[in-house]
Amino acid sequence: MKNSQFSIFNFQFSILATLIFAFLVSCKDDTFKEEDIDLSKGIFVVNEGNFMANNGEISFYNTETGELTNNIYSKQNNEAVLGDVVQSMCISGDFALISVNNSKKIELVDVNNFKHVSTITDVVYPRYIIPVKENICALTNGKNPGEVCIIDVSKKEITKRITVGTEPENLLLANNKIFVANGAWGHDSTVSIIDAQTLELTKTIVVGDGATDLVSDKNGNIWVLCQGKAEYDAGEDTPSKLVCINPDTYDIIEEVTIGMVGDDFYPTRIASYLNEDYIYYIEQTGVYRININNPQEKEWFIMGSYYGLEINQENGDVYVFFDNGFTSAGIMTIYDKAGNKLNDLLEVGIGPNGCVFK
Amino acid sequence: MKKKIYFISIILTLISWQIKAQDTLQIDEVIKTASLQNTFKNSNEELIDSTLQTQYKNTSIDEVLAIQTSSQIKSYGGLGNLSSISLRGSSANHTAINWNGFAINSATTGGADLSLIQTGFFNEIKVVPGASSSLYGSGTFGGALELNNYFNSEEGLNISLGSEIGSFETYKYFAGASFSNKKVSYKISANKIDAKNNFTFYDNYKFDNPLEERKHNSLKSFNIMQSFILKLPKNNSIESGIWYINKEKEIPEIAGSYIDGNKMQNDSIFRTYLRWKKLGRNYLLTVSSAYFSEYLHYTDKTNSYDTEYYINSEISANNYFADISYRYYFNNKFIFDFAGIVNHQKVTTSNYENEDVSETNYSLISSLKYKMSGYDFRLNFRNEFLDTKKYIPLVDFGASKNFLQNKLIIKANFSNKFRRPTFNEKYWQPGGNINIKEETGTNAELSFKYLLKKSIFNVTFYHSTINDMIQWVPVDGVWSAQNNKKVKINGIEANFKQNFSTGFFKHKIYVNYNYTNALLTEVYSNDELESSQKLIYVPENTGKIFIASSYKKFTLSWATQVIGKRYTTQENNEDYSLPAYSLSNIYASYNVVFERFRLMLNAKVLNIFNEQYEVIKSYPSSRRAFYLGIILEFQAKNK
Repeated sequence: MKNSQFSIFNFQFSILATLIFAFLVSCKDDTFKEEDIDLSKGIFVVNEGNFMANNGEISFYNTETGELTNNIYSKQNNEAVLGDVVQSMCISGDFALISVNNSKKIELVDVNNFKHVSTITDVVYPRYIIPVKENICALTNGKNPGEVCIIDVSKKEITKRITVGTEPENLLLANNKIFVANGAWGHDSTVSIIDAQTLELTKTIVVGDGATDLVSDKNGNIWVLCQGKAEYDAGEDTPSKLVCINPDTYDIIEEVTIGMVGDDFYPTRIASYLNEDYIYYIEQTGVYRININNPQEKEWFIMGSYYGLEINQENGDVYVFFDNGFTSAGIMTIYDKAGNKLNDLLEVGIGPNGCVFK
Repeated sequence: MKKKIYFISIILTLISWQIKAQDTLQIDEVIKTASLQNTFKNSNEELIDSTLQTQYKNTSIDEVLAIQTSSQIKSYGGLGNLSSISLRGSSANHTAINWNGFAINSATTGGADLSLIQTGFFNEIKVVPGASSSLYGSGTFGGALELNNYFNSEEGLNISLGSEIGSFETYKYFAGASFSNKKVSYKISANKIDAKNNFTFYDNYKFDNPLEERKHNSLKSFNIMQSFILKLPKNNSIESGIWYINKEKEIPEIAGSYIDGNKMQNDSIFRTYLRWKKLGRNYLLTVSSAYFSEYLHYTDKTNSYDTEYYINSEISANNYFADISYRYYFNNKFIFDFAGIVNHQKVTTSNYENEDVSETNYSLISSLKYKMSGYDFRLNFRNEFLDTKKYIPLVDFGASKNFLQNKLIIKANFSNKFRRPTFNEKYWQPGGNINIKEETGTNAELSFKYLLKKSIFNVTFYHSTINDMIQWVPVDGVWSAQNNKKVKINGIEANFKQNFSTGFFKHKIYVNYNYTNALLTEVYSNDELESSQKLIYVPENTGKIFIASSYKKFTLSWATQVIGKRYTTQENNEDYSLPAYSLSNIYASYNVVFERFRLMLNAKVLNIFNEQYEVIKSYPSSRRAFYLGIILEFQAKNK
């Protein structure tokens, strides 16, 4: 003991300090208070979240009151996590189905209170989901080959799988058919057509490299956004374009080149207002639109860098979403169809890519 | 600016020639032949305790660094998953990792995977927080980690064989041999790990937080290292090392995913170096060269039965070094060193626009150390060139003085720093940015070290900045490397070490506390940045304690680390923050000695309180794990 510099005080102090420190940094308020959110009328914003961070969520914007509530899934489900890369959502009856891409699941919630109902898990790469008919939804899933999964909402399970093209993305229900855009990042160039009644694949047509999104126009024709091929991904670079097809004959009616080879921009969003003649799409410098009667003339509608685009079919308002680097809250901005900004910037969740109107 | 620095260097050299080497040099040979960094560095260092290193010799170094040093280890959870070091709130590519003086940071990412590095392979492991860019080169905003093998003439012959069995179907095997006498020092170590890694965890990213088993997480690795030092006549010596690593790792999906995943990663690394030293009466001449080769193969497929991968990425990197250093000892007070380094890097991968990309970096370093009136001054300059590009000149100046009969040492240090963009940041397709600038910054620190007979207390206050910090951000829908941030970091590092005895027991205790206030001061891509946003994954407070006690043939140790809350989003959203956690490990061993043989039986419990925690969001770490080990050693000490 004689040569020891040990001091009992020093030793105990070290232990005590560590324990106090451990206590202080460990303290957390675990009290959870559920919020009363009115989800009767408004829009659900789909926030992807930052990849691998499990912070995708849904925001709700009450169009009657102008009130915005973020993280409604977590708030209504005892702080549960919705998941990683919340890709899309649709409403089917009293349910909302949320495709959570990197969590490899479809989350089924009550659309009136957003309470968890069930989780459908038998998917490997879920992307976009749309309602097809009562209790039936269609989901794109997988890469090569991709498939459309038919979900029976009442059974809360996948009841059928239809093989389509490579990396299928968005779907569109039109003329009692499901049109499926195949080819994210230029890995395919087709649209698969599925009979919405028999749920059988009836035809596959070639439209253009990288078919990713599609909408109907006022005349009932289908406009497909083809994002082009990327040199680094598909081995060659091709321009992005809009391709218009007849939904009955599947003939290509129109082709409009919207990007350039080497511009390093691969658009993913197209939208239309069915009461008027415009097709809107996101390009490198903002939102553009074309008049379907004179489609080669492009009009710069809103300047900026956007990740998501939707149109409210009730009034033609244009909703655009800014990802803000996927590390901070994304921004939703609403414009009227004349391009006038209607709101202050609304901070939604991380990485908003679109919305669903209720 | 560069001309001025050279001018100053030349003037100092000329002045130094005026000082006649009248004193007989009494400097110890070990000190005289120490590396450039060890001779001229101003920063404090944290040496891994020998007991801790012995107890955890069969684990990767991230475990021991997490227990004892101020470093923050960022691990993707579970044995063998990617693990990196962060010092002073900086990123993984802001710590220079040196193996016997050569940087082993990846040319492609700038970091190094610590899960590939075995603790038992080295004689010495030490962390140098705030290490000088002038001495260590690119990427030392946080500091440096040194992995060294050195000459130990007293060791004699030592042969050891060991194995360890642990939770989650973990099997480790270790074999090593070393031999040394006054002329030769040779060491070979090999290690094999086979682990299923299927620990259970509560999946907090699924509804109702079910208890799940971590799947697709197995590890198979093999590592071998040889180091050789030969002393030749006339104070010549040659040293060399060879290091081979092979790791096959299943990469699990993130928590919350409903599939097991199909991602695989294979790392294959070969490193070798050769060094010649000539120690003259007043000088040391060192000539070194090294060759490092790294191969990484990463694959992923949608379904386990798919025959084709949708990601099939191969990256091959070759790194060549050549350096020469001339050091002159004018007397016991004045040392000058001039060094030149050439580093040629070549990366081959289809992920870049041109499959083969190469760069050659040249560095010129001049260093001096001068003692005067009880003060110890150190000054280091470095000029670095990339092919024809000149980087900013790097300066590192420090002074120290002893007080209170050498019980109190006060050090002050200022340096500027930089980090070269990595190959991925420049050439990756899509998003690589050939026009990206280097990161630059400064570091100022003041440290107080108080020495007692068997205890040391050290506290360091530092302030550092990082400008043009590189970040991958979406630009026109494509993630792209951009100079995007300015960062300011203030912090305190405090540590305490004490050896003491109680009765028949001998103890040693290490206590470590860090306060880190790492703030974003500007984000170029976001005009609306609110002030005082903290850097993500940087805890404000961390505390660690390690206590080892021994009695005759029995050794017991306890380690606790407490890591504070960490934000995971730039806006510091509380909803997505990771809560603080505390981890404790216990280790016990018993030695049976029979003549020259020693049998060591050991048991270890990691995460003894079964804490569920995440270091990286969405990647659960292993809960409580048990290990039992046995090591048989044959020792024949030199007489």
